[in-house]
Amino acid sequence: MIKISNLEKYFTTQEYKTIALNKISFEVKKGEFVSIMGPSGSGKSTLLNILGLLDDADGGSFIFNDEEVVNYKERQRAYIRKHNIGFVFQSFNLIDELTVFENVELALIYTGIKKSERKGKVDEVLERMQIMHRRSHFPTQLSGGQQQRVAVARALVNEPKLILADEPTGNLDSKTGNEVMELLTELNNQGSTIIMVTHSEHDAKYGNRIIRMLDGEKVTENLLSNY
Amino acid sequence: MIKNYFKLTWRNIKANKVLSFLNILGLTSGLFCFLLIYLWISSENNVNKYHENNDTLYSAYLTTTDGAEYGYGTPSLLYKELKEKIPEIEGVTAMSNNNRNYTFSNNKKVLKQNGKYVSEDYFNMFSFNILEGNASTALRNPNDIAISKDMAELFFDNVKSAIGQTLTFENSKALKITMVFELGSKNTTEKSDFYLSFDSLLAENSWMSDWKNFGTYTFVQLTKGADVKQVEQKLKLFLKDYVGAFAIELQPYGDSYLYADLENGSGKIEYVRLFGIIAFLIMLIASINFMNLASAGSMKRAKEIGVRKVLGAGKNSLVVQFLGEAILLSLSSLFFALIFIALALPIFNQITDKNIDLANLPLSTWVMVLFITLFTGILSGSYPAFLLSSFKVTDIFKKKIETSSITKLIRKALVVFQFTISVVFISCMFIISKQIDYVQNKDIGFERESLLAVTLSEDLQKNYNAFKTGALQISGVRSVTKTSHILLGEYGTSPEVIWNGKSDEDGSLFTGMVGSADFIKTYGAKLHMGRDLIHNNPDNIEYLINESAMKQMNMENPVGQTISFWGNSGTIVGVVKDFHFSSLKESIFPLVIRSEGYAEFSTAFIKYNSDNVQQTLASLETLHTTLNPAFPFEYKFMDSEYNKLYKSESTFYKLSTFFSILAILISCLGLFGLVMFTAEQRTKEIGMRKVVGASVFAITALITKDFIKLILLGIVIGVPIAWYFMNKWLANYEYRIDMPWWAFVNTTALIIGIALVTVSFESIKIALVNPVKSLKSE
Repeated sequence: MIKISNLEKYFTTQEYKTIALNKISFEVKKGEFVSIMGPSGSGKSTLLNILGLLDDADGGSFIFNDEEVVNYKERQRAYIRKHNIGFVFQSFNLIDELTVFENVELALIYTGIKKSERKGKVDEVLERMQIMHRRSHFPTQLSGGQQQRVAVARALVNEPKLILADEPTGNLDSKTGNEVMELLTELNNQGSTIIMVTHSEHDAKYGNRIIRMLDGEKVTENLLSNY
Repeated sequence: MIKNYFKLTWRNIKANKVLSFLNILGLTSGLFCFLLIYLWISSENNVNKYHENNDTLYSAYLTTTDGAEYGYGTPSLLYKELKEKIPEIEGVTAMSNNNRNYTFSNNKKVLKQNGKYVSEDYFNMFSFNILEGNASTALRNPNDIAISKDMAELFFDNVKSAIGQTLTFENSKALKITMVFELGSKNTTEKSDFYLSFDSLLAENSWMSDWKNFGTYTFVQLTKGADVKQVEQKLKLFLKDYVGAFAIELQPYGDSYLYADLENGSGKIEYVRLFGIIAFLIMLIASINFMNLASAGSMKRAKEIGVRKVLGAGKNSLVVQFLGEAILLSLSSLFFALIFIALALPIFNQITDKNIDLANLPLSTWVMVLFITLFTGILSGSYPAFLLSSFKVTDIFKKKIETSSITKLIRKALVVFQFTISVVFISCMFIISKQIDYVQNKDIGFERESLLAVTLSEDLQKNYNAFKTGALQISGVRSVTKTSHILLGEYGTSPEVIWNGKSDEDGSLFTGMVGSADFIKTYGAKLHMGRDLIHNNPDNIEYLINESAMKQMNMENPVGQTISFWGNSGTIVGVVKDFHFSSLKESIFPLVIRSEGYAEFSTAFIKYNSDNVQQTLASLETLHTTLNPAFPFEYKFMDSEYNKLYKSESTFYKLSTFFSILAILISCLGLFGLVMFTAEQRTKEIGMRKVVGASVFAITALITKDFIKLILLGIVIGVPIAWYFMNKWLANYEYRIDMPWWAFVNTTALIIGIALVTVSFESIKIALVNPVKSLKSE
């Protein structure tokens, strides 16, 4: 599904050029659950942003679903994003002024799905995330775990081929964190491809494979289980 | 999607109450001013243009062939000659130059009503809502009168029963009511209760038939399709055979209101233009506010933009969203602005002497209002829309969006611009008020205080001597005189003054009036040489002239010399020092005052003691009623009449004060919002500074300093601009103040004061926050 080779990313300030990703290469197959680990500043989040087509690379190749996307323009990337990728963030990134239902619905609005269809899809995914009883609440009225469920629901509602999670349990207590991880595992079991960035060894073990990074390079790859 | 935007906009408004309040209040105030001025301007632009024949109606005016003098006053017989001799003229009407009060009575009532004389074509040329009677024949006979519906209802049971009835005019002759018209709510300067036959006025005043007397207005209606240029060509030489070196020119009747200053091709249009600029600038200030507040507040919206982008929103859809929000906000501001306008219109109409009614606006005005509002929304929304939608998702989530230096510069420039405008407005306001004050309190050469003008109606003119004797016996009365004119306002001018040594080519114009004994004593004017008028004897005519007339006649010692005015030869008995008998915008014209003469135009002037005025007035009324029982006692205070000369200036002053205050208010709203966001952005810095020991004062000063710099820059730019414009404005006045430097000092102090209060309020609040809190917010 994803194949990156020699991917590079620099950050330049007036005096320094920092290498965020140093010719990194790996492959993720359909249905895999890959955890990416590494200390702060190792380039995990930068990598995830490029994989999610939120940022562009400075060199190398990125093949997504058999398409070379590394030189895509913002419009093309937005198209791939909304049809193929779901995002889950550490800080949930829900829009405070929209209700649970409306936050999830937003993803469908941008893909141009009709109103009548949207309601069914949103309710279905909220049901699945066991957050249906909160559908008319605003994010600030929810607990952290509930907010992350909503974020996951939003990531799932378009039935994306790929889910990208950036430290999804980072803002949660361990019990709630485990619940979210169970949820991701379940999604993976149902066929979703997941790439997750995490600091937590515990969480990383929910995946099939752990990629460890340091200073913008892949250091090791451990296969935990076959999928 | 649209519904989603609406929802989000509404919830954003609710979530950011202060910001939204500032935004809506700013835009509402801006739209309020703009629309109010727009309504006023469109009303001004349409004054007197509602006549069906508007396209073919013209006001005639005269110029001397050397182009030195201009005026609407024309010979009274002109209308008859024009109609006979110029085939392109379909209708002509003469009009007595000013509305006057006359006494009307029937067996029920005796009332003063205000109106004028017009000739027969009048009602055919100008559109009136005629309730009864026939426009073509209404003033055919000398004793016909056309009256308004209001006047008909004052004297009769109803409009229908008024037709054919008679009213006694000035207790002397019976007039037959031939027509009843309705003034309605037309946008007109023509507000007469009645119209009398101009021919009867001519018949009763033979001097008016003198072609050298330019006291009558003439209006013409050209035939459809007639070439104005061609007609004007014919008119240029028309007067040659009658009066010599004067040309008749035509001005579209609808333009006469705004372009009455014929010499400069301007007039009230100057105010229309000025207010147009003010409206535009206020709207600009309000839009800038919106831009600044929205772009400064964008940090709060960053997450939302990020999420939308992640979910696949393109730049266009975000631009549309933010523009939509701006338009929605401006529409709600329009709603509030309209409510305020509806509330303010009664006072506004009163100040501006208008009759604007929101319920009666034409569709085109509403379309324009909506268009302006949408335009404002787009103008104000475009900058934040493009700014916000250009944020990069990765920067947003890394909390790395920093305001670019260009954005910061633009924001600063906008603040400077706002305050520049405010400085210009406020210093102009100070200077205009000073000039108006100067004009109203200037020594104009006669004492207008404690001076009463009493109308001398028919009977009282005959009994003037008895009235004067009686009045002087009242303890509060100091002196009494009578003149043909009230000494403030429009006069006819005439070249018909003849003196020894006047050359044949000398066409100098003089203002003439008729005075009587105690002229100088009562007016409190000063004698340059000679004496006051003493005799009121037609066989022994005395003349007073002013210094300007003396200069014009090139006489060194005019006292004792013989002059003749309108064919009445007499002796100059005195020279009065120049005094202002019209607006201070005009220089003092050569003036000749003749003793005795046509009695009909008389007004008595009474100098009274300022204490116990009510008692004096009551005694005068008693005296008046005894001598003149058929007429009501009518008087005017000269000082308040004088102030009326500057009505448009004081209206302008009142309105510009109001708009200046609003402009500074709107600017401060924006400033307040900006400080709020600057403080928010610098929370961490402020916390750190406090940790290392900065005082509340130091923090407040830190934030305040940056803003005060911008405001000072606004002042530095604004002062010369205000100076330039005010210098030009003051040049309109023949008599004016020196540019008051203190106006700029006051403006600076005022604006800095207001800005300091605005900025400090929020910065002190931030400075007082516990540093732990400031640091935690990171």
